[in-house]
Amino acid sequence: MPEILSLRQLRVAFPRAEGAAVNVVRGADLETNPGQTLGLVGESGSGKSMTALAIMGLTPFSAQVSGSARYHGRELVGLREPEYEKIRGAGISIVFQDPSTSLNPVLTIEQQLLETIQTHREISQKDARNLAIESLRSMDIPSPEKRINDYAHQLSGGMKQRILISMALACEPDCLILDEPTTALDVTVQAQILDLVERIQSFNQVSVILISHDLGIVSEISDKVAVMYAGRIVEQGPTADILNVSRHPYTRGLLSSIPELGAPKKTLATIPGFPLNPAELPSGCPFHPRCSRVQAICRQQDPDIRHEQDQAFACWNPEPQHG
Amino acid sequence: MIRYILRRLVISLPILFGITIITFGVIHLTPGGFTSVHMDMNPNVSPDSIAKLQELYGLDQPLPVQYVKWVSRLIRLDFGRSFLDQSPVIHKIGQRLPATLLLSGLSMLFIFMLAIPVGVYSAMHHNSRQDRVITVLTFVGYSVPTFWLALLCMLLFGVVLGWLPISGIRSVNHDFLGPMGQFWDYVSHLILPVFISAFGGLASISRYTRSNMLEVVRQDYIRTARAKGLPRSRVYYVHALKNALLPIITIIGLALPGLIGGSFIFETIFSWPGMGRLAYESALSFDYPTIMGIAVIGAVLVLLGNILADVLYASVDPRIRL
Amino acid sequence: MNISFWHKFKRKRLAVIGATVVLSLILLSLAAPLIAPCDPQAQNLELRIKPPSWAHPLGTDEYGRDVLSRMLYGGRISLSVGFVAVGISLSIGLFLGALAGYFGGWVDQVIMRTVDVVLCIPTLFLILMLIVFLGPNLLNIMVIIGLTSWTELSRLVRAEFLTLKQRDYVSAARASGARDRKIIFRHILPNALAPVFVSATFGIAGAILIESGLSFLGLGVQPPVPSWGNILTSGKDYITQAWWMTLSPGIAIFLTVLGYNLLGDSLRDILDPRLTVGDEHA
Repeated sequence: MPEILSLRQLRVAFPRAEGAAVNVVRGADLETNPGQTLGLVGESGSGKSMTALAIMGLTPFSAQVSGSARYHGRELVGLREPEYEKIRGAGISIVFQDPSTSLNPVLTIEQQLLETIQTHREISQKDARNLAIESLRSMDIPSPEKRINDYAHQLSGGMKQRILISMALACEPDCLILDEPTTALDVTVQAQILDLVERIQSFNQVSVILISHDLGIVSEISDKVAVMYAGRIVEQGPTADILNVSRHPYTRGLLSSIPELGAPKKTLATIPGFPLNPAELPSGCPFHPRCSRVQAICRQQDPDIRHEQDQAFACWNPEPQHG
Repeated sequence: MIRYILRRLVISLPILFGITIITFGVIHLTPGGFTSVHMDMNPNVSPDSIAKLQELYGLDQPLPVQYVKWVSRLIRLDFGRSFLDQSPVIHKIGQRLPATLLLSGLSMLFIFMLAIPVGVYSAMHHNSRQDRVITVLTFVGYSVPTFWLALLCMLLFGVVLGWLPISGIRSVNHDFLGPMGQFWDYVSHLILPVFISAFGGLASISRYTRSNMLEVVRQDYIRTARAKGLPRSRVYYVHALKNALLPIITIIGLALPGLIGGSFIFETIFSWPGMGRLAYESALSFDYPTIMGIAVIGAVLVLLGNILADVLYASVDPRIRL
Repeated sequence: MNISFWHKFKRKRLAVIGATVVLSLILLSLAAPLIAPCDPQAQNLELRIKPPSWAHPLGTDEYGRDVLSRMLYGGRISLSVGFVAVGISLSIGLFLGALAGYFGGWVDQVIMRTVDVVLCIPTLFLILMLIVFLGPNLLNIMVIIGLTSWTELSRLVRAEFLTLKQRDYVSAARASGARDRKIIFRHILPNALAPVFVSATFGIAGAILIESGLSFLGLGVQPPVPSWGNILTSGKDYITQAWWMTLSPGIAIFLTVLGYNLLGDSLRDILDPRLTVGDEHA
């Protein structure tokens, strides 16, 4: 199956006036396939959102992106702005974390939906409007022909996120990035949005990248999971393998901190130490100060990616395969 | 909307009350009472007008009584009579007000039509060479004493080049010109005063637009707009500008006191027959009733301007419902 | 003022230019009695309206007085108007703003509604009225400019106090039984000073401009005492024949105001990290 998006050694760095550049993404390898959902998991500051921005070509002005990100084989890194604009929204779309600030407060939903459609398609105002209403309806928005005249402040957070998702899908892209789409929402609304995401992926053959700090949420709807730490993808593989036989101690740590529904009450495990500041990475494997399986080499050298069966991980002393 | 305006007007009443107290207080600040000082120096003051002034303020009575009397006359727009020609102050101001409104209105228009595009351009080319040049120019704009600039412009365009008239609102031969000639006559008399009185505002509004744009451009919805594949021009001129312009409307209201207050300098320099020059002339001749009248009217204008700006803001910003 | 402040300051070219201009003008005015070639008020009718020469580098005026000496002494007047006026408005603005922000309630209401009222009266009109009624002399001018320009400052201070009094360390101080006065002066005020300092810098520029504007209309510091404004004013009647009489005071006012504005703007950039731009999306 041809992949839609493939990242090879993607890097994002922020040069500083003094001292070395801050590497926020340090060589990410990823692939996405049609109709599949890839979960990208990590703590805040792990570089997962910056990876998404780099794919979209929306990194801050001062960022330097290098390596390769190909969309249907076409190189995105260094792509000129007018070319990128044709891909954004039409080929790859993104929905950001906070729906309350992601819609323009002084434009109606209609204006914001229609401009998206009309940017990418030669289509009459009337047809665009009908298309917009249909796309709102498909996101379970009640009476879309009325809601379309609203402004952002008239809508609830969940409603705004549905609108943002329908805006992202309005031009039928084949790749959708969801950057923490439910973090800012109530728990009940979270579940509805996740249902929606599952439906999108199965119906439209869209490849979804779901970014979250919550491995629990990701594992529910993802086909593959990639775990990011300190700007690197430290482990990735099929969701079932990651859940059952994860090899990287960090992934294990994340797994044991997911509360299990119905399981007997016990103290949740936590990963000791604090999330990293990308400006001050330790030597060697950046996870070693927090790792329970740390060895001498971990402090000196960052491990390469190892492939075993369907899994890939970067660890000197991985957890045993059956443990 | 109408209810909102009415409510605002009602809320303004205490402010108006405060304004009258301050102005009333200012008159009574004058050491030794204001009918005594300066009066001897003022050839325009006849014993008769002093008597009128004493009647207007009831100077023999206790202060609160004086205040009530004065305010009750103000309500009937009775500001008393000018010392200079005994004509009612309200008429004098009425004659001069249109010229001031014309000048401030046009400068305001000029400021916004030039400063906003400049500010947006500066923000779009943030930290570029052009942006730096504009930044330096805005600092020069803030800092040049406008009366000095006026003097230099009058010298250059009026005296050396002879392109533009440097004083008054129309030429001596105005009545003998054709309709186009009369129109051009007005326009040519307006160019220098409008440019000079707009000068300081140009700098501050363009700087304000720039910083507003830079602030807005960091917002999440701008990132959304770019992520949708909109062209950069649409992201800036529709998504960012519309948000950046909103607070500038409020600035119109805030800029009004400055323009009206500054008018007495510009109008004096250009012999512009407006309220500002009237204030200056009255000040030099210690024409108290006229100065007081102008202060009260000026404050009322500012108050109305603020309400207008708020109403305008509310009608443009969908988040505010009146 | 810590090391990082100076570090940032030195890297801002405009800040350094502003500070240099401001400092050198202050020094020149302070040193006026030492470096002025002539008595600023000494008339010499044989030397009326002479262009710049070695003896009189900035020329002479209509009474044959040395313009350079008058400029140096005038600088003392103009700068002291700036400092004293801002000192007055700073004291009033700080006091009322602190009261309103700290105590809130009716105190806040009374003070802020007063501010609304004063803001409605065009400042220059108010100044004009007061000067006419009280008489134009140096003291009156300084006091009047000070008395009419505290409103913005008090709003600023109030806003700072409103945010700062919510901080944990203030609550902690209050919980440990500190008195209001101690909380205000020890815990809140020092942290509220940065924006006040910036605003005061702009205020000095504004006051100097106002004084020179008033002088220009004959309502400022009265001759023969020289101020930049009245040197400019007396020069304007001779502008076609004696350009030097208006050029030097015009440039002096411009440079001073520019210096303070540059300084104020850079200080704001340095002291207010929120305004540091760099992570915009577009």
